Amino acid sequence: MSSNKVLLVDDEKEFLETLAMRLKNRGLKVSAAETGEMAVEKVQEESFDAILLDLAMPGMDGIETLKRLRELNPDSQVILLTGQATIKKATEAMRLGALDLLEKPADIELLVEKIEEAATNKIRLTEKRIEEKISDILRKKGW
Amino acid sequence: MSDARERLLRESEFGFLGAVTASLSHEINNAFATINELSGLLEDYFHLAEGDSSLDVEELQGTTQRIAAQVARGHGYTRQLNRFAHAVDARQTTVALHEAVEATAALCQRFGKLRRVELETSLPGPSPRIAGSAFSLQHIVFRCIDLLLNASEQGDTVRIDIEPQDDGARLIFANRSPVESAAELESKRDFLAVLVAAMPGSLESVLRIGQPVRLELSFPLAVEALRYENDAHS
Repeated sequence: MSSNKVLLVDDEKEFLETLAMRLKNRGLKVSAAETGEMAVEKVQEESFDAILLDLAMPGMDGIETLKRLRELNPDSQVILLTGQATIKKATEAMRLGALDLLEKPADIELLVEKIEEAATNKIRLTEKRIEEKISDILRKKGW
Repeated sequence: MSDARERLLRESEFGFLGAVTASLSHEINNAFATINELSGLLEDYFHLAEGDSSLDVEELQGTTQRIAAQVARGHGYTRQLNRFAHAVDARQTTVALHEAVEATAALCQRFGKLRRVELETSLPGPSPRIAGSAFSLQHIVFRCIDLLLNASEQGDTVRIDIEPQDDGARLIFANRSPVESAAELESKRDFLAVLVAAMPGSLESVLRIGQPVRLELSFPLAVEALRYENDAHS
């Protein structure tokens, strides 16, 4: 059973709470945010293996939230989970670095699979950054 | 009406249809998505309880009640969508002002929510009937709300009031946010004036930098409107 840390972002409270419970039943550590602003705050406080993000939200919408999350951490693994996926929005989201886009209602096992994929990506990116940092130190020290 | 104006009117009507059906289908899908998760949660409970007879009956009852609430929510949206679809049926008849305004305000709730702006209606007394189609009136109300939402800051309230008059009714849309840039709003207001005149009716507006927006639409009662049409044709 996976124990990845996931942040769910959706203004549909009932949907958010129920999906959070189902992911917890599958061993994941789940945090929830009802707005884009709350999601940005949470990401500033802690790191997540994957972020599931709704597109249509009051105030800061999904695209704006995605931009902010990627600015805060370019390695953020964001999966869009939306009921309103126009081709224009989907293209924009992928261009901004979203890992994937799933339509609601989504199959829970597929979601878990995507979250694991996101977590693996994040580990790979983190390792790459560490390698780059070590190479940089070695180059500067002339070893 | 000139070809260009006719084309603008058609585009606006289709834009109205598209915005409303997209918004309602989005809400219906949200209800389905939540029902999907709730029924999945029930499956999880049954799976967890396999080989264990201590099922939490209260938890299960709570979940089935939440499913029922989401079904009722979805049903409310399909009823709105159905009523809206039927508004196109009745071209060139009379329309009950309160019902059309209330139905359109309900359709626009989500647009307000996305902008964090409240929509409030105050429709006292019996509903006056005015000439024109329900669809044309709903289109006008939608465009008025759209203009006001565009002019409102987060946390504002768009108020919709109806005041009876001797020979008609006045429909008033107002907010509290001061106008920052008037050009786009003026273009929307000018287009609205064309729509209102075609009902028939008249539009007065306050649209000045630094002041809240106020639109006042006056419509003659159905009988008056019919007499107006007859006079115009004689």
